[in-house]
Amino acid sequence: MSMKDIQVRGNKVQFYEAGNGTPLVYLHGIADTHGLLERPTNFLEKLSTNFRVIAPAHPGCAGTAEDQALESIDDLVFHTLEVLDAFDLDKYLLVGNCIGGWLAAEMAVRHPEKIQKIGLISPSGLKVPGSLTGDLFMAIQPLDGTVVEARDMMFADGSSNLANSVLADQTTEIKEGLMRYQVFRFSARIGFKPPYFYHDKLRERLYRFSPPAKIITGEKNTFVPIEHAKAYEEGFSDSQLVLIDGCGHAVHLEDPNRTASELTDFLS
Amino acid sequence: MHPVRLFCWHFMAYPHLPEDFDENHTSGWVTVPNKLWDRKKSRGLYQTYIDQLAYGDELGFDGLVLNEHHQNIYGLMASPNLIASALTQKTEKAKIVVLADLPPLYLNPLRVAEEFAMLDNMSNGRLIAGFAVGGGPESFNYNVPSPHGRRRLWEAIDLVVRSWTDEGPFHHEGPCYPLRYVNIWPKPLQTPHPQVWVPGSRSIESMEEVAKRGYCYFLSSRSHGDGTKAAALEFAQVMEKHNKTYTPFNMGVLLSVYVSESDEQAKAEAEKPVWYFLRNCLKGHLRQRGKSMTFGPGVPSQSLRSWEAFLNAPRSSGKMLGDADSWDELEARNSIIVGSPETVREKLWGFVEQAQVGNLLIQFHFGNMEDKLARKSMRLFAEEVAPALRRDSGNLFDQEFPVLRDLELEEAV
Repeated sequence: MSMKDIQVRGNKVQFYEAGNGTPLVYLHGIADTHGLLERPTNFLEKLSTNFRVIAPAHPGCAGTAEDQALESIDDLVFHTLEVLDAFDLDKYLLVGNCIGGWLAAEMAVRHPEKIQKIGLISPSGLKVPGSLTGDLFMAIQPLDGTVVEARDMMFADGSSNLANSVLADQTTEIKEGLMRYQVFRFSARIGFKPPYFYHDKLRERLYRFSPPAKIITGEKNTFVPIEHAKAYEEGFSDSQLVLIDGCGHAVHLEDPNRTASELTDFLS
Repeated sequence: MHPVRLFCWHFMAYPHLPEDFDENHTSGWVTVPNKLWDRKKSRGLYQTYIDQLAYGDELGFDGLVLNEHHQNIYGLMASPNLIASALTQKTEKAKIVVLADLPPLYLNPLRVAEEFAMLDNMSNGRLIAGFAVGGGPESFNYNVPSPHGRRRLWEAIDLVVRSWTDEGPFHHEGPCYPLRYVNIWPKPLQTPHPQVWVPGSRSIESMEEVAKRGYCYFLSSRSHGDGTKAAALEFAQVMEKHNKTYTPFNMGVLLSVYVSESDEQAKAEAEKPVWYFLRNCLKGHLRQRGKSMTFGPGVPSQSLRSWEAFLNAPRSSGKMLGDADSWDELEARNSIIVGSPETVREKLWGFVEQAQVGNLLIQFHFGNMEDKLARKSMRLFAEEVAPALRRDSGNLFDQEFPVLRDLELEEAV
């Protein structure tokens, strides 16, 4: 279990790899490994007890090189396909969290043939009229010196120790402050416009993915409202939705055991 | 002689906020509810502001400065080009400095090329053309992803300048603005083209881009004193790397000044509008209290390298201009210079002598300052501060920058 680097078309890509078994490609989100967090989450470690987890950091996040030309979700899909080519996987399980859930869905509708099953955790990516995603970009900007609005958007309980440790008001460590900036800069490249985090054609394309899909989110998700999870459930042809009690957007941190076991049961 | 050039900068703040604005609102930007706009009280507001700038021309200021902001109370020039257009017809001599248009916010930079060319013709060759990326609030206002801004900005600047100088029609193949037909009518009056100014807040990337093209770098932060000197030295080094020699006219800086008959009177007259400006107009911008929208991970326009440098930089109190608690603190920071002509002259001379920056862009109007006070301050400045400042700086610059001696004034600036 460790962080490693590979070169993809001349650029460094950092990834986490752990476990044995069926390959499980994990595409990270914002409050996640490679995002706001440097270390692998407990959730990711739990998944690795049953699968060979491969989790690359997106361009500009953690140790992966930034790509100045990255301007759309389409660019990100192609980048990620190239990363996966480097691993030479025949077939794999695909799991995406938050913005990584959006990416996973975009990959699934384009190239369903290699993906055995797809698991989405609090995915963004859909335009759901009347139910906009929250403005996380505005929320992360300090209010009276705090990022309380971002904590409230990411967690069911924004005042919890968990929320405060992931999104502290003062990033005392330079590394932590830089990672926060990195993941938001990456997210702004593809998710700032339109406002926010969707591709307006994705919803009508979901039917193209016919293998089983499972969507998991917290019942109190205010960043990506549960209507989005429901729209994913409706859009895929073979899908199930699980809402986790008492959790918000960052359900994989708020209830890692339940989220990991829901996924493991489904993917096994 | 190559004396400092003195510019009059107007922000055109909204002056009719309720007394309790600061208590009840987290920002003067982006989300500030527009029900606060008072139609009746605001009738004639733009005229007053335009006339103040025209008065600056009468008083002999070298230029008049405008800038672009949206959906805010700090600056009501959503389109500085509209105000510039009015000034072309109301002024005779002063340069008209649009600092700046924000190309990343627009669909097509040719519109900027065309409007600037029109303004240059309408003003008989008095335009200084500024281009900027836009700050955090503008990113939210126009829904522009911050990380793409700089790439778009520099492609836009190069395209605009090329449209002014190369024969058209030509096609432009840039990644952000591919265009089949570039063929500007009218061309600008000035040859080869109006001066180009680009604001920056000391990021090395911006300095590099400005220096290698030989444009004027405008330091947009409101931190003065040592900061300006350090920035000037940095910029001079970057210019040297590109085989160019720094003179004070390669750089500009924003200053805020209020002059009255005596120090006491100046403070008494300026205090209320200055606090209005600091507490209300800077809320959301250069103030920690409230919702900060200008810098940060939500509007990540700076490169990772610049942000890392920012995180590594030693912090003092972390206070920004709008966080000043007292008048004394404000005075100590020298960010707003208030006093009698003598005091202001002395402080500004100290600044010029230390920083050796040749374009002083001075804000005379603050927040809800009355017209007659802004005009008096401008007049006292023009009559009792400017002459000595020009004389002394002219001597100093010619002495410190021998390269200037061989240049006509027009060439130097």
